Amino acid sequence: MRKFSFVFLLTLLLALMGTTVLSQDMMYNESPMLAAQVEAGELPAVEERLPSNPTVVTPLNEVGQYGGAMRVGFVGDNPGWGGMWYVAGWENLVSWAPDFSGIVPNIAESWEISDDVREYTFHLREGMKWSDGEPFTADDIMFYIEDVLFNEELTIGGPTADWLPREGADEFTAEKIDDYTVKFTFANPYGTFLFTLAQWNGRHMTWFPKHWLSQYHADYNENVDELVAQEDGVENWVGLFNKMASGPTDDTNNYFNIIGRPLLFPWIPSTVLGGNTQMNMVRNPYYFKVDTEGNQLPYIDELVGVSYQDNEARTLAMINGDLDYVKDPGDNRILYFDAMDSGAPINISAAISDGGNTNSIQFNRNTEDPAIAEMFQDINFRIGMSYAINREEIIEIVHLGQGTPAQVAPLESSPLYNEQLATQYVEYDVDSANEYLDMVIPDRGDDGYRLSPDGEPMTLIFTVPNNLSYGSNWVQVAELLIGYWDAVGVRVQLNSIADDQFTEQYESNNIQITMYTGEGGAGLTGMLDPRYYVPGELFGLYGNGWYFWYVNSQEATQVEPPEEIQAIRRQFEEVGRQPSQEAQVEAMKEILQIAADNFWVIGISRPGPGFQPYNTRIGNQPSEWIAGWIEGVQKIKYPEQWYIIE
Amino acid sequence: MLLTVWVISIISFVLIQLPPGDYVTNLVSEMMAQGADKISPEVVSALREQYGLNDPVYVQYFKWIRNIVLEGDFGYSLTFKRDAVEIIMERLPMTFILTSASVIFIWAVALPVGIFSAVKQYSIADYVATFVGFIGLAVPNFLFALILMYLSYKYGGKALIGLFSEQYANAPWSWDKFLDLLNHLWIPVIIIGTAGTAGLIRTMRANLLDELNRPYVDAARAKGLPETRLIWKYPVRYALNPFVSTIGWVLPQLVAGEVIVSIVLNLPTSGPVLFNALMDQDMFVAAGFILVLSALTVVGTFISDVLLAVLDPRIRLA
Repeated sequence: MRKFSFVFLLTLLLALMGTTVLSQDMMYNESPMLAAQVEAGELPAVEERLPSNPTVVTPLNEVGQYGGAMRVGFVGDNPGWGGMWYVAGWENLVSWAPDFSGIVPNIAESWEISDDVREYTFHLREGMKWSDGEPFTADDIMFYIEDVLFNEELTIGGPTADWLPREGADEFTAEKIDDYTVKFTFANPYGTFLFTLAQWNGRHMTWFPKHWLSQYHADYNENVDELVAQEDGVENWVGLFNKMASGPTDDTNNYFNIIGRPLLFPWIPSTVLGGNTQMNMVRNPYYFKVDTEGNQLPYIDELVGVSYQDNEARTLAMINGDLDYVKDPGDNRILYFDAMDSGAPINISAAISDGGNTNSIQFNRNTEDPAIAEMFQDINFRIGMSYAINREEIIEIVHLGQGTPAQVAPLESSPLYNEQLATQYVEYDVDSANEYLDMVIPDRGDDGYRLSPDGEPMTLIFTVPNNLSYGSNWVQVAELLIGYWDAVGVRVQLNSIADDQFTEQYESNNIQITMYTGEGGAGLTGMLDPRYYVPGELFGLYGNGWYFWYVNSQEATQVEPPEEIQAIRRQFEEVGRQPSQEAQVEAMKEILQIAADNFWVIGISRPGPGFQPYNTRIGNQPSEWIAGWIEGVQKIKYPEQWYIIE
Repeated sequence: MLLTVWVISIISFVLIQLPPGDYVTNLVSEMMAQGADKISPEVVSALREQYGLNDPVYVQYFKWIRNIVLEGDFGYSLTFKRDAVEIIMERLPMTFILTSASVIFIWAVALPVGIFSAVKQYSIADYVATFVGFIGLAVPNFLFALILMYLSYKYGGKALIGLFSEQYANAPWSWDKFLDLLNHLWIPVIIIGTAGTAGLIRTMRANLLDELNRPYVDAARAKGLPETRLIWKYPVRYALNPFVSTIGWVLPQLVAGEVIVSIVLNLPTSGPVLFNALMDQDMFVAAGFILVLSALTVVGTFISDVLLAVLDPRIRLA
């Protein structure tokens, strides 16, 4: 395989997971918990449970020991999104190297890519098994492609999937070469397919155990209606299949609500949430990975997921040592550090955000009032609004002095770095702000506020989601912004709402100005998640209607993009079709230059490191790591090699 | 009674549907909140179809109520992917334990203190009892919960969150588990109890003072009845009237009243589930809960009426 090297700001002291260690001549060890079951005749021997060539994971610091239970705390009734997904899930055909430097084999042992990057051949691991002991083979992948993706009842409106480019989706074909080999052929070149597979988007490939799910599929079981009648909350076989498969409709709660569904994950659910505030997971005896000494992973025997109703109670439990891990610890940085200094049993690792910015400020060009929309489309307006922002003050007040003023852009360490995009218009300069705003909305009313382009008094609405677990300080930022804009005569009103209302608002095009995350910073993330560089992506709320036009939904909100926008999108599609990474980067750089010239969104600052508390009991934790959605949040730290130090 | 419950069921179902959005919007925003933002609109509409959210409200209501009446089926929890009735029943026992413990605590404290306050009106002890009671009433429950949690963490070396230690949470019932429960239970009981006692102390005190000034008390005293017996035989019995007539409200009040405490203390009771169901628009669980609680209120009121008749002959004869 090609090793990619993109240099990061930090050279992480992480060894690359060994991919070339020959494991055939290994002796395998297993957890005492499983050894006892083998002894009792309940399980086959470890050699028979592992594939002939298991995936070898190099432990971060040292070879761990078996046993124990790790307690993960989450807020609410959703274990998956609350944290379990990123620890006990996310096993795709390929993975990220732990330092995010490229792709390494995971479920797939190896692969070949054709020169025109249209054909991908994946080799699976011989003897690999689902958590119920049944073989995992090419048939399972084919079942997904043929019976789910191309089944018109399960996938409505033709084959659509996160990993499948919309253009030419119908012509995509998959072919089973033998039990352990599948070949995918795409209609167009698809140079970024492996990156896509390593992310959340690639989850479906290894998500569907054919031997178990076919009983819920009408094509395989003509008596499926009897099962439908027995199952609560479903009215037809499609509902039943989706419930059992947790997909393709993706209501991923199901994973943690159904016991006995075959999985490939390191831990599988053993009790579900409901009557109590706790759910449990137990190690998967057939998990396909070993460490460098042939110990079957994971090291930790059990996971306990504890549901809290309130982050403060969870924080107290964490500081008190009643928990080992929490995702999104909230705004309690100082509390955690103080507790650590005063001897609480916690360590803290730095989450180096892969984001291009702390926030993106977006002006919806498709907003309903044509005069306002036209104003938002005028680059001088956005330049003026950007100069008006005192970024140093926001960093000082909200981000505790962490970070530097910047626009939303790839980081300096990224091969995609574009200086103009990152640094233009970030100075705090009220005079320039007024100068640029005067070019667009020069007239002021009696109260000193600027009038709208058609001469009316104007109050812009700034819609901010206020309850996202990772957006705890957004409203603070928004309030400061409103003050800065007020000072240059633009009257803005804060509309702070809960995230589900926010969804409603942008789906119905009720957004004027809004604020969201700033994806696209580290490495190639700017190419993999280009929402702030290429208009018409989901959450590119500056072109809200364009996105809905592209995916053909929310008809009332759809706006056909003008030709120059469509041209940019066509050009972006070419990026993914480049055969080599160098060519992809080159093509993406052109897109980023277009983004720099158009100045789609305003950014605030480069994020400082986030913090991740964990209990001192947990070993093999990095002191810092690249954190983000694309990396699988915690998954890039390979939780299967964490262990409990007792 | 049935009519009342039926009207309540309509109101509760419609109320739950009133806020914008539904379970699917909530699901999508949850995924979005995690950054899984590539959810295609086709998937969203398929989900709505799957969960039957595309029907008009009255059709959804009709389906729901028909299944309850004909099959005892309360619908399906979209969050937990199980029968709503299972979710409700799993949480109710714990809720009743907490509620009954709190009621017993409230009565055990409020009755004697109230009687004492009335008999020794305007004494130092009366003022102290009243003062403490008012403090308990005035401090918001969640704050009290946080303070107690913090104190137990700071000085007791453990944060008393939840009702069970980790090893007993999903274990079957045993003597040890019961002891573990008692060890955790006192905090919420005190918190919920203190808020309720002050009101009851005042009620008891006022009622008893009314009774004590009645002529029949003076008559009894003149006849030389011992003071204790004199107070307990009739005045206290009549003063209990308001207690008994509000038993019907105790159940839903305690279930509703403990929501915030349960959220803060992370108790496995129905309050947080109801709260989350409302937040997540998991409508069958929410509507089911409200229906069950309303039914309890109606039943509770009926019980109060019966008890009142037993307690106070004047009501029977009226």
